[in-house]
Amino acid sequence: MREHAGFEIPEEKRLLYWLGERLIDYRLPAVVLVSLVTGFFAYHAAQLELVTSFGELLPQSHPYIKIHNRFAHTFGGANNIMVMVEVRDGTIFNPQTLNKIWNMTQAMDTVYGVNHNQIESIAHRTVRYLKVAAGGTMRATPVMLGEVRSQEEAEQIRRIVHSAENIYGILVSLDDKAALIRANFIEGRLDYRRIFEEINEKVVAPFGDSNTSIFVAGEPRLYGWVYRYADDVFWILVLAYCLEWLFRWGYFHDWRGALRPTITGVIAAIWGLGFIRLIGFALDPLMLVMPFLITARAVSHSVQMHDRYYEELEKSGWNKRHAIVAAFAELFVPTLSGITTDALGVLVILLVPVIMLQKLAITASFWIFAITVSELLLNPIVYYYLRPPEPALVVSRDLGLFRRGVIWAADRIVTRRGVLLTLTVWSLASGVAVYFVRGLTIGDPTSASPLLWQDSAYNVSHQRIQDKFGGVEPLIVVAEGLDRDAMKDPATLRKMERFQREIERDPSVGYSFSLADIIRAVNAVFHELEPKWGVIPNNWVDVGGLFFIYFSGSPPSETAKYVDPSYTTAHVTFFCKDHKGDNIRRIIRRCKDFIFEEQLRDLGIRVREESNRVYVAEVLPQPRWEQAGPSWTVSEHGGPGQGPLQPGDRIVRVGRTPVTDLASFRTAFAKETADAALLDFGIERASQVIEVTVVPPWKAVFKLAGGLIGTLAAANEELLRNDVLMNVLGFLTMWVIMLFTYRSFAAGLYMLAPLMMANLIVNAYMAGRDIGINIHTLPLVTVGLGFGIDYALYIVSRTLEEIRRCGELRLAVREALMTSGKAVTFTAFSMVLTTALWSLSHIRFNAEMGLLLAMWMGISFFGSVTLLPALLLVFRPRFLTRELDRAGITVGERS
Amino acid sequence: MRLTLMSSIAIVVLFSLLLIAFDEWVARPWRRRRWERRAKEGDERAQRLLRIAKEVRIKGEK
Repeated sequence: MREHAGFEIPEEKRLLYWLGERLIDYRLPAVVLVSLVTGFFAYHAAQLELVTSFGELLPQSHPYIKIHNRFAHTFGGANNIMVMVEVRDGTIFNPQTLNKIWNMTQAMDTVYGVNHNQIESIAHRTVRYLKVAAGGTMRATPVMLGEVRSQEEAEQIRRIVHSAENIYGILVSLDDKAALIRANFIEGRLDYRRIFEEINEKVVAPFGDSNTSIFVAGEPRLYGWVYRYADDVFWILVLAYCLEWLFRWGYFHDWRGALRPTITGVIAAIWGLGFIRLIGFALDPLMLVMPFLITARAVSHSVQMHDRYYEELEKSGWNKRHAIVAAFAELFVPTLSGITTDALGVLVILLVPVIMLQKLAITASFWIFAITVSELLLNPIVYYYLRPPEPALVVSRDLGLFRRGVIWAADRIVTRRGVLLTLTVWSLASGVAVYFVRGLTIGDPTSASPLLWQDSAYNVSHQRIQDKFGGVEPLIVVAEGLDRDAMKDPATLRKMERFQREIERDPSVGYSFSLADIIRAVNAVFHELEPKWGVIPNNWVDVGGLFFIYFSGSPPSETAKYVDPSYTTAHVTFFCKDHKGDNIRRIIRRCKDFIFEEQLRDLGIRVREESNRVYVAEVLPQPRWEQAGPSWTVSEHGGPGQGPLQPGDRIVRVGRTPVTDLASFRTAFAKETADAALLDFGIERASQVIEVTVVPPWKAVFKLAGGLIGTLAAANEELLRNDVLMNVLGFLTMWVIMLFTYRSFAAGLYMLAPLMMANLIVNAYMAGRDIGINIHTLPLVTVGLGFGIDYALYIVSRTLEEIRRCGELRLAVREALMTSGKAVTFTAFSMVLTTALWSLSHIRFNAEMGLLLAMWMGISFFGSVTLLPALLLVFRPRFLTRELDRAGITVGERS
Repeated sequence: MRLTLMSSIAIVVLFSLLLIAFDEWVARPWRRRRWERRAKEGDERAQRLLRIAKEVRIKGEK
């Protein structure tokens, strides 16, 4: 033991006491430095904006997103807005309603950021029908060329709509009561607030009346609502701040106790927000809970420190300087460990290849590290300048009701009966949670947007449009040709048609659209609407001719939404009824199955799996490479009449990817066919591995996936891949820091136990409440992991401190619960209450997250003050009992 | 009523100042009077707190 200002201090904390002294000695330069840095960050924080960048929400490295990015500007992205005009009485086919649709469509064309070539409405120039003119000439003419003046004109439009396969049921409902205006917005020009306001002003407000209802849905609209409701945040923050001040004032009986944590929180917030702006990031309205949580962390550490300062004041005989230094030195390790754990734990989010989450990980980590300065290093200086509390006030707190309640609880928790009851209750709770957690889903579990409440204006509109049109959320599958004019190949068009019919069988797919639909409709019109001609022609010349007839009157900018000008690439779009995570997975799987089976059939082989090996089961009669001649295949080892693949061949490799089972074969095959003009196979035949190269017999390859459903599928796949990994790494990070903090393998495990329970129970709650893990919930759940560890750290550190002093584990745990446990209880109580305030938000996501995090904090708090002490007392871990040995007191003697 | 960033900051600053003023000029004198009243009634806890308030001074304070 050493001495500090006449007080004995532990040898291992000598350096920390020295540091505390130096901080006070050099307080002026430290204050000037921190003020300058804070001013610098404040300047940048003041320029911070609330922005959501759609591209940053997507996992850019995912193959679906690469396809989405390549084709979104032509075939349509995920940023569609649907405006539905619905009449109560009659149909839309009257001059008044049709003129409304006309004017709304023209107004939509003027909304900021709209892609003028990707507006679909019966009143837009890009929606055309084939008109046979005098002399047998045909041309594609817009359905509406201007405002309608008579009922006869309206009837004429009705007849056109009813005979156009690309309009009836797609842009006009089958009961003629509703019309849809669908507009795509350019991703780089998405200004959600402006789009929301302009659509309200120009498209919605002037046209609604007693007989006409207007419903608006789509991702840009959804974010527009989120931005509008984001102002709730200020109310919640103000309310939380005021409540926190009241709680802390009530707890410390002194305004300094309320102010001190605020200084820590505000400085850390300025640094954090300034850093966000400085590195070119912006705040997402859906991520506003995050700054609140980080500030809550800062305040939480600060409350512990302030409580310890009061305690040290009394213990030191009211020696202010010693109390400041002792509080700093004694809490340095748990505070720094807590901050480091939080900051590194958040960095785990970097694993998810979503730019927004990666930005969030970096900024949150920096912000949390900023607490080191605002809480730890600045702390002795702030206390030095701040007038100390009245001694009578400090003593009166020890005699108060809260303190007596904590002592009462601590006394019971450490008894044998308390330990037994604790373990029983937690075991039962974990059993129930395990039962419910099986229902946890990745992606959205409901068809409505989980960002807003079910009865919100947006979700009501969304549901109404879905009900009327049977599916409005696009999944775009690109058919990419290997050469120009590939889309004139009848086999490719038939495959597109088969693809549509196959996927339309899925209950979540409303309808689909592709180039095949256009060619069939044009062919029928060309043959005087004879139904038997509503088919895809058998040869390239006829197909090319029909396309020429249909597209010749339209500029390439208009036709590009169906097919590119060189006829190399087109798309099949499926309009889905919802975006539930399970449904998206099923649809994508069906698409993959179709593509895989079609390609194998084109190649002329079937495969089978035996003992995790993939064999060629059958070569179909007249396989492609024989039928098409040598120009279709290149075979190094196959002789004349012999194909490169033979029954019984084992496929060991596709391209450069080894094949270990059927799943890996499918993955490798999809990758090879997507990227290569030649397919390389590694074949094991008669115990010899040979290489064969096949020229694929198809003209185009289907590539997944764009549109809202495609982008969500990519995000869900990434989340599924990374969710478990993130949780494991999050826990591992904490365990490693505990390992170094306490020099014990077991310490981390004990402290992680309450967190694991909190994680399990919160996940079970999410499953029970239909809250899926998605791009927004994932980081918050990960941040929640760090909350509990702070509580555990303070309690275990205090137990270690007390065990050295009193030499008995049960007494040490009791003392830790009565001191650190008291501050932990207060912090948890105030944080749970203020975090739960988020449940008042109009944004369901914020409300649910607030509630979830309040639960997180509540459960990990209960775990830290009940389960953790119980485990310590039952298992008597070595990292605690060795402190008894160091003090020269054996457990046996004491007990 | 819609709040902005600036109006929110104004509200929390005003609230903090009000609470500080309340603590200094209302709560503290009231607490002292309560201890004195209870001490007169023979409450030992209140007597102890009053004694501490009168006798104990923080060391190292300027």
